[in-house]
Amino acid sequence: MTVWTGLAFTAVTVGWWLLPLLPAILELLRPTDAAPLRVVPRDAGDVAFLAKGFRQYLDRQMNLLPAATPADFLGRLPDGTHFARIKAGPELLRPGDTSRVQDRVVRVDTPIALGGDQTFLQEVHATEDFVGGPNTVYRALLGERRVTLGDRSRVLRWVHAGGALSIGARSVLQGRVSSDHSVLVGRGVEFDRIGAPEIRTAGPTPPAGPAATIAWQLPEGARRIGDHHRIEGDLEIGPGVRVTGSLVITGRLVMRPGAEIDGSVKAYGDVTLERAAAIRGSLVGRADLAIGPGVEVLGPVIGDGRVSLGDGSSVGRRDAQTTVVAGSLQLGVGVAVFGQIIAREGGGTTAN
Amino acid sequence: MRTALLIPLLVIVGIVAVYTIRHYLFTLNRLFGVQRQPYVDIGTAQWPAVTILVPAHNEEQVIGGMLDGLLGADYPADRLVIVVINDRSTDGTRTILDDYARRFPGRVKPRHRTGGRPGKAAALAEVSADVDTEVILVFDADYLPGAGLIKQLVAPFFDPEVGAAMGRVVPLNLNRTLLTRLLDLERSGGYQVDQQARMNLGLVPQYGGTVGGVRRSALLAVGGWREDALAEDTDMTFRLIVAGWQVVYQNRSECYEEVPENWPARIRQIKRWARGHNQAFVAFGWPLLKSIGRLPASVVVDGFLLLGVFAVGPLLLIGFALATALYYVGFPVEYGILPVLGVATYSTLGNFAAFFEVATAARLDGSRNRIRLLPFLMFGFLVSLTSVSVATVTQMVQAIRGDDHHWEKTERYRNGDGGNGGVR
Repeated sequence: MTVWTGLAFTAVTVGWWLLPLLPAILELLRPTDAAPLRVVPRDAGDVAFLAKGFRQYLDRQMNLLPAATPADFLGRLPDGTHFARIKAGPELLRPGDTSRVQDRVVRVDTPIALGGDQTFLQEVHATEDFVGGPNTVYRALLGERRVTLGDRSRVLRWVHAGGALSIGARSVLQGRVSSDHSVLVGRGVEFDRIGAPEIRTAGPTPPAGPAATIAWQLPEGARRIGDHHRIEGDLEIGPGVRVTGSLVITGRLVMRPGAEIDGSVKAYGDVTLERAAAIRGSLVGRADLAIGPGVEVLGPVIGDGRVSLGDGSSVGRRDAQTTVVAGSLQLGVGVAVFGQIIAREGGGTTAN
Repeated sequence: MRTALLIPLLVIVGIVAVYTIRHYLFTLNRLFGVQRQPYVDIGTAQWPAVTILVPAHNEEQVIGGMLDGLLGADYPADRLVIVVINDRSTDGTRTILDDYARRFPGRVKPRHRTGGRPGKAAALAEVSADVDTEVILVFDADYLPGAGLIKQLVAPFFDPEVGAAMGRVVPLNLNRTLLTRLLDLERSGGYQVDQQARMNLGLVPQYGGTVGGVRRSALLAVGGWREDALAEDTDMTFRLIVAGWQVVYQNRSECYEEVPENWPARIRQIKRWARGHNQAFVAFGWPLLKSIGRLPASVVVDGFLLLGVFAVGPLLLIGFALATALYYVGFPVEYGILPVLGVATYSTLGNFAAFFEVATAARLDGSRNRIRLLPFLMFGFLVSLTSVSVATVTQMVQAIRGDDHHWEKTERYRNGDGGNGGVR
């Protein structure tokens, strides 16, 4: 082997070794991905975030419209978006049978009740009461006052109402649903995320059960850890029994009718709360939570698995709003949740 | 002779292999497992009163930004008190804090320490004794919290079993040097993969001492902050775990931080972490093992491995030394063991985040080109390996001689150069 052969062999070896470093060296010398990761999105925790953003956008655009723009207007916004403004002529939103699809941002400045079977491919902004007809599809809907969605409506991104929001039966609500006042959810409705001071499902609300009065005996083997007791295995709290303090249960939890926990509770197994049971703190479940009729939970309900809220049950209060987080969520009739509902894999109301 | 060298080598190879498997499990879990962030969506609740503690020593460059971030938090103002613990600052920190206290009476309450033991743990211990809120959050002075972060970090405490919660730390100054970019990758791997996988699997996410907090009743139940803890975060994590509390991690609760921009500062930081972890290993290794039966076995095993991460570096060096010694005394190691050691060394070293974890984290973060720097992580790995080993040996010598330690804070760089660290 000659010197040149050796040198060539060495050069090839060094080059071979450096080859995987080339992208690294280039990225170091000429950074192309050196910005900090984006953190904590501004929409975190605010169900109405998208609606507020749309309101700001539309206000900006409308402020740029010429002052002489008529109250009823069919044209474009300054950024080129197709746009319709309706004030005196709601017939603009009542197209003939051949055109039931609105492919423009719609601003409605008058109370309106639509006939149904329409599709809004762009956002709708209603500054007065808005009543949607049945079988209507909305990309997104912002109502500054009361909003009523007809039966079998479908919302693709979000809907927000400044006043009361009523959802017709068998509607499908993808994305975010919110109101500054209240949301009434009809039967057979599918949803992901709802936020309002008061969220109710249609149906009667039963009267509150009697207060629990029987003192609880700590089971054998329970350990006190800080401000809670840890109980290994399953736990059953008898009817009318009142537990004071917080509990962590490694197995299943069953609360019999009228039982009450004056604190928070966490269970690793399934949780069953029977009729008119009550929890004055939070309820955390690593498995499924079956919350029975008339049950009251004051604090957050945090469920990893399936959560069902029975007829007439309630979570939070009007003056003590809270959150229900579930893998999947089923709501019975007459259920009240004060605050937020998040169903990561989807939620629904009783169909019948 | 051969047996005396070979048995320790096999033990070391076994230990390192366990860590390798652990990292692979974490990575696969993050890629394909069920992801758990049960508390992060709680946006509405009756939020408890919170005290935010911010230990500060010579933080005039950064403390204003930190306070502005906290004061802008989306949290009921009447339930949030910010206590900055000014620990003998000699720069303008005191003036800045007093100005904020004047402008935000009742919301910003500086505590000026002029005596007592120096250091973060001692400062926290002294001030926490006067805190009466249900939740105590801790931030370092160079952090920039977003508006929604406080609610996110408080939300886990609605779970009665949670004793401490931890969010994710994201480097802000990553475009400064090669080191900052490498630390950005390491942090991604450590949080995006390691911490979140431990959360998913119900193991032991670590409370990291900042961007997180503790439940006051849990803190009291385990005896408060330990003043002489070199890593008060690791110490608190394991005291809570052994006592039966849970530590949780929230990957979506992110906060910017500054990372060291020069190697000497990084070496000091890693040495401090190593000494603190080793101290915790000695303090909690046995109590944790004794907890089997009372705590889930998976928690005990993962906790023990977490305690031992900083021992892996010195073990690796000993392993290499043993293998070399075996070769030169005429007993070459059997085929297979040395490659295993080599591969494991390459891909494993505790919380420095194995390289495949970093690659996975970059993918999960949606980063595209920063992953190209991955080969350079070898430099950081070698520096860490050496630093940790030196720190461990030094610590053992100091323990034998009965020397006391001194606190070294990490330098800050925002609004100027570093140079405000390394205080005694």
